[in-house]
Amino acid sequence: MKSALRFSSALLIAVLISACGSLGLQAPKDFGDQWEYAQRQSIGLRQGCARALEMQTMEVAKAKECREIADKADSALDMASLAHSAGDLATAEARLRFAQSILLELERKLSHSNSGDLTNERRRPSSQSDIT
Amino acid sequence: MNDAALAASLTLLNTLLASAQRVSSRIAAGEPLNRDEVLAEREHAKAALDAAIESAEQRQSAGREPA
Repeated sequence: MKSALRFSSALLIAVLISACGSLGLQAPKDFGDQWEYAQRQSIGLRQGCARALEMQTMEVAKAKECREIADKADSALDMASLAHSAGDLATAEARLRFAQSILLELERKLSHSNSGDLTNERRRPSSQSDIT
Repeated sequence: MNDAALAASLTLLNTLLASAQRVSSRIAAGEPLNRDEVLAEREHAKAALDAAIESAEQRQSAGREPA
């Protein structure tokens, strides 16, 4: 069972990383499209964390970290948008890439484990298999 | 990864794909980006996560208090 779960989680990460290519999603055509993909990624993470919390499959500390990192990504996306409006394309691209990297890292961490990777929180063993 | 973690991961995957598909559909339909609409949804998602965190914290506190 444990190896099946590990396999599933590895598969999940692979799907997440390659989602755009493998699921037939439209490639972004301009800065606005890239900005929206990143912004909706942040929205999706918040929605997913909220649902997981409601279903009691995610710890509060993890959900708070999800919120904190999504806030950082949103700030970077706001700066990217402002820079783009001002014609500063280099800054806009840099801020957008930064937001994308933060969001991707958060996705990876949340998908990989729910056992304290994000916060280095002390983990309480919940079963004998956690202790051994 | 335990069952809860796997369930949380699948929930995230589901919402992430739904979000990406919305952008993809807009691009495919040739519709312009509606930035205000996206930002309004962002605020809605923020409020929902804040409420979920607050509710979970209340559950935790209630669980710690003696009956």
